[in-house]
Amino acid sequence: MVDHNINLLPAGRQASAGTTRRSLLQGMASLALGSAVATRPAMAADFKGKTVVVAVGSFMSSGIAMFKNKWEAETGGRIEIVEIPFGDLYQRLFTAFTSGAHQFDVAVYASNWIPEFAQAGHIVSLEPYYPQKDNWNSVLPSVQRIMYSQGQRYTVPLDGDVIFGYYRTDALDKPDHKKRFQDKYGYALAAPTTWEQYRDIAQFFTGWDWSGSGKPGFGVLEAQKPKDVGPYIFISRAATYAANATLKGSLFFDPDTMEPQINNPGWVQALKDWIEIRKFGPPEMATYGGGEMRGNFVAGDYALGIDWADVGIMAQDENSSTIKGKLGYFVLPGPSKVWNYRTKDWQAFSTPQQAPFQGWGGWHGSIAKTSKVPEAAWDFLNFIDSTPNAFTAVTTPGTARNPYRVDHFSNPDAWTKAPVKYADPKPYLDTIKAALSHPNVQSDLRILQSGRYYEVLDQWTQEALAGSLSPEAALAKAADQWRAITKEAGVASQRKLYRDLYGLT
Amino acid sequence: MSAAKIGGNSSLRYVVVLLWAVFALFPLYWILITAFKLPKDIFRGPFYLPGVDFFPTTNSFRYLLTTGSGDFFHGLGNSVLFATTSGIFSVLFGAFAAYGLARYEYRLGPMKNDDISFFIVSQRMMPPIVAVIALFVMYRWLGLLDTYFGMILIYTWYNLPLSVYLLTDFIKRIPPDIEYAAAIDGYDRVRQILFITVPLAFPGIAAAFFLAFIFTWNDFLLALMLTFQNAKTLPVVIAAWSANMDPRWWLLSAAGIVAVIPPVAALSLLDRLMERRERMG
Amino acid sequence: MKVSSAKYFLVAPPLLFFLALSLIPLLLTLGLSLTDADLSGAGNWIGLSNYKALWSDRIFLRSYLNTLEYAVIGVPVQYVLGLVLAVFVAQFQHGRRLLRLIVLIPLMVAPLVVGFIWKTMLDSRLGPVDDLLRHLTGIAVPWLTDETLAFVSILVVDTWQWTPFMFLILFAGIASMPREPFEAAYVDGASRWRVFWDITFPMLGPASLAAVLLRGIEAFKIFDIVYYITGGGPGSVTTSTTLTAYFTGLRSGHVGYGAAMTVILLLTVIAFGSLFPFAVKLITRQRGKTFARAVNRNIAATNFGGVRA
Repeated sequence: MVDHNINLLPAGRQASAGTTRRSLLQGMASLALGSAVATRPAMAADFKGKTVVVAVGSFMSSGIAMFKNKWEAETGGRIEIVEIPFGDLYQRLFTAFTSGAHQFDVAVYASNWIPEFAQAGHIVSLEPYYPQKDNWNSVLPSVQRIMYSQGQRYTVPLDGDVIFGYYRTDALDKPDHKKRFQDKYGYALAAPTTWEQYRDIAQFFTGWDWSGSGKPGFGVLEAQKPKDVGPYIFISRAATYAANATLKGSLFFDPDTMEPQINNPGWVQALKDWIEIRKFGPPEMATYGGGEMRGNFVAGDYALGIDWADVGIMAQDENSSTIKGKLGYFVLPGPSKVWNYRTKDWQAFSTPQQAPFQGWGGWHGSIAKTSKVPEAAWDFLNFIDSTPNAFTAVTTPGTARNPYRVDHFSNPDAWTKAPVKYADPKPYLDTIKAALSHPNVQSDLRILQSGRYYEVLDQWTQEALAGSLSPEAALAKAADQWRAITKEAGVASQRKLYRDLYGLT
Repeated sequence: MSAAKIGGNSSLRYVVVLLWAVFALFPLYWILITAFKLPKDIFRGPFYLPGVDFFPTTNSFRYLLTTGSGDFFHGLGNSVLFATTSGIFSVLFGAFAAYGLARYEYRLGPMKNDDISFFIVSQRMMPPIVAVIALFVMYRWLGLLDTYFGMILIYTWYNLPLSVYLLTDFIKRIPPDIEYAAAIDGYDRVRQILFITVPLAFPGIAAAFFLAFIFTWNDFLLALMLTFQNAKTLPVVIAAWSANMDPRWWLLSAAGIVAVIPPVAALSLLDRLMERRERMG
Repeated sequence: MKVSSAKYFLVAPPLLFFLALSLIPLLLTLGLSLTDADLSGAGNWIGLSNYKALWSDRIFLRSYLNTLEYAVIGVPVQYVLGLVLAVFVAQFQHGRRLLRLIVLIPLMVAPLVVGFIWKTMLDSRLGPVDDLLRHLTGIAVPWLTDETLAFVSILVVDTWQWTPFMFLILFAGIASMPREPFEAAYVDGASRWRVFWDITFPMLGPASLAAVLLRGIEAFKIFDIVYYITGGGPGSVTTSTTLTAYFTGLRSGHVGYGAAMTVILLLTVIAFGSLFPFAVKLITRQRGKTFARAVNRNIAATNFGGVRA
C-alpha cells in the first residue's frame, strides 16, 4: 500500500528543497494527485521511511483515519493509528507518558488535559512549528484560547466543542401546539430562553403522541447515567446560574481563594432543575449515557435535548435517524438571576444570562516529547487540520469533529452537499457559532486532576438525582472533596492554572 | 459412565433444562438480531423478527469485513492465540502442580499442602484494578509491553491458580493404584502422569482449559494496559468501538456474535474429553 | 528420580509465577495505598490516611456493602442452579453435548456485549422483556430505574453469565465419578432422590468447594455488567468496589486511594477464601452420621477404585 502510493509521487519532490520544491510540488501534485494536494501550500517535507504512531480516543478515530492514505501518498511516510477505548484514554496516555514508554508520536485527546501534560513536559510546545501554519487565524478565538499552556501553543485544534440545545420543529413549531401551549402557559411556544420555559415545554410534550408515531412522546432527553457524560450536561446547566458575566472565572472556584463554588445556590438551583426534568423524560433516562441519549433522540420522540454538536450530525443519517429535517437548535437558556460569589447573593439581570459551556473542550492533537519524528508528526497534524481537510472532516458523519473554524460556518450550502448532506445547516451552524462566540462562553475545567474533580462531582450529583441526598447536601459533600483535591494538588498552582484560563493575573 | 443414574427427579429435568435454555439463549438471539438492525430500529424497538417487524441489514457485518476488518481480525487472531496457548500452559503447569499437591506431602517453611494450594489460588484474589499499574511498570522495564510473549505469560499467570486448584481435586480422586500398576509396567513418573493420570483427569483438564480460555478471551483490563497495537486483543478492539459516545450497538452485536464462535469451537473440540473415558486396563 | 526433591519441580511454576508477577504488584499496591499517588505512581507518604478516609466515605461503604451482597446472594443461587443443571443435563442420554453447549454459551459472550444487550433487553421501551411482560401480565416493571430492582437486575445478569461457570466445574465433577457406588446403591433399592443426597452430592463435595471458592473470588470483583448496565446507579445503589476503585484509581487518577479500596477488597476475599473451606468442614461434620457414612463410603469407593463387595 505504502510503496504503491510512493510511486504516485512526483519524483522531483525528493530532490528539491525550500520554496522551489514547494512550488514544483504544487504544480506536479495537482497533475498527479488532483486538487486535494494542490490546496496544501505548506507541504514541503518528505517523510519516506518514517512512521508516525497516532494514539487517539476511539470515538474520533475516523476523523483522522480518513486522511491517512492521502498523507502517506503525499509524503511517503506511514501513519499507524491506535484506537484507545474512549473512557480509558486519559489513564492510558498518562501511564504511557509517566512511565517513559514511547508508544506514540501524536496523541489526540481532550483539551482539558493540555495544561497537565504540558506542565509535566510530556508534550512539546508547538510554537517552533506554528509559523509554518497558514490557517491559525481562522480558528475561532474561544477554541484558540484553550490550546495554550503558559503562553505557548501545545496543540493543533481538530474540533470545537460546545454544549447546546436541540428541539423538534414538528413539536414546537406546529400552530396547533402553539395555540394549546399559549392557552395553558400564557406565553408563546418557541425555543426556550429561560429554564422555566424549558421546563414548561418539556412538561407540555410529555405523555402524548405529538409526533404521530403512535407512541406517547417525551418532553426531554438528557444523558444522566452515572460515570458517563452527566457532569458535562449538568455543568452546562449550572454555568448559566453560576458563571456571572460580570465576574470572570466564577464558575468553578472563587478565583482568588480557590474556594469551590459548586455548592453555591446557583449550582444547587441547576441541580434542582436537573432533577425536576426527569419527570419529563423516559424512565430509563437515568441510565442513558451520551451515546444512548443520541441514539434515542434521533430515533424517537423527544421535544427537547441537550448535547454537543453530535446529535445534529447523527440526525442526518437516515439509518440512525427518523428526525432529519425536524431539528431546531438553541443556545442553552439563561436565568434572569445569577449567583454572585462576591456579594454571596443572587444578582438580577434584565435579560436571560446565557453561559455556553465548552465541555470536554474538543479534540486536540499534540506531539509526544518522546517522539523521534516530530517533524513528520507536525506535518500530519497540520495536514488533518488544513483548511480543506478540516472542512471535509467536520462535514463527514461519524468523525466526531465539530466545526471550529470561521470558514466552517460561512458556507451552509457546502454542508448540504458534503457527505453529511445536512438538511438545513444554517440554523445549526448559527447556533454553534453563537454559542462558541458568546461573550460569556465558559471553558471546561483545565487544572490538574480535572478528572478527579469530575468524578467527585458525578458521584454526588448522582446521589441527589437518585434522591438519597438533597441537592444542597450532595453538592456540599462534593465541595468538601473538591477542597481536599485542590489542597492535595497545591492551591497555588491550581489557582494559577485556573486564573490563566480566564486571563486573570 | 452412563450418567443416567446419579439421582434427582427425572420428569422435572425436562422442564428445568428447557426453561434454562430459553433464559440462556434469548439474549443470544437478541444479540444476533441486533446485529442485523439499523440503528433506528434498535432505538425504536422492540422488534423481534427480521423481515417481519424490521428490515434486516448486513451493514454491521460489512463493516467488520471492510472498514473494521484490520483491527477486528488482528484482535481476533491475537485473542485466539493467547487464549489457546495460555490455556495449554496453565493446564500443563497446573496439572503437574496439582499432581504434586495430590500425591506428595510438602513442607515449605510453615506451609503444608493445603496452605500451598491456598497460596497459589490466592493469586487470583488480587483485584487487578491497581495491580495493572504495577504490571505495566514491570512490563515496561522488562520490555514486554505489547509483545506476544508478554501476553501469553500474563494470561498463564492469570489462569494457573485456577487450573491448579481445580485439578488437584480431580487428581486426588484418581486411585493411585493405577499409577502403581503402571510403575510396575516400567513407566517412569513423568510418563505415569502424562499417560495414565492426565487422561483419567480429562474431564477436569478440559474444564480447566476451557475456563482458562474463557478468562483470557474475556479479559479487558490486562489487555488494555499491557498492549498497544501489536498484541491488542478482541475485547479492547470491541471496547474501542463501543466508545460510550456513539452507540454502535449493531456493530458490537455483530462482533459479539462472531466472538462467540472461537470459544464454541474450543468447547466442541474439548467435548470428547469432558466426559470420562472408560478406564483402560 | 529422587521424589523428595523432584516433587518441588511440580509446584515450582505456580510459585515462581507468584513471586514474579503477583508479589511485586501486591507490595506496590500495599505501598501505594499508603500514599496520595497519581497515575505516575509518585506521591507522598500519608500513612493510613486513605484507610481512615475510606471509613467515612459513604460511596465506598455503599459499594463495599453492595459487593458483599452480590457475592453472598449471587454465589449460592448460581451454585444451586449450576448443580441442578449439571445433574439434570448429565442424565440426558441424547443431546447431552448440545445441552451442555447451550448452558455454557453465556460464559462466552464478551462482558461488554453482555452488558449492553441486557441493558437494551431490560429497557422498558426498547427491550423485549418488559414488552412481553406487559402483553402477558399487563404489569410494567422498572427493571433498571427502581433501586431494589436495579440491584436485582444486576444479580439476574450476573446469574445468567456465571451459572455456567458453576455448571462446568460440577459437570466435570459428575463426569469423572466412578459408577460403582451408584450401581451398588440402586441394587440396594435406593430412590433417585436418596442416591442424589447420599452419593452424588457428597461426592461432589470437593468440586463444589472448588466451584464456590473460585466463583466467590471472582464474584467480589464484579465490574463489567454493573458499569455497562447502570454505571452503579441509581445513585450508588448498584455500584461495586471494583467499579469504584477503577474510577477512583485509573479513570480519575487517584491511585493511592483506589489502591486502598482494592486492599480492603483483597482482605475480604482472603477472609472469604480461608474461612469458607473451614466453614464447609464444620458444617459437614455437623450434618450427622448418615452423611458422614455416605461420604466415607464414597471416599472409600473412590480411593479403592470402586472395588466394593
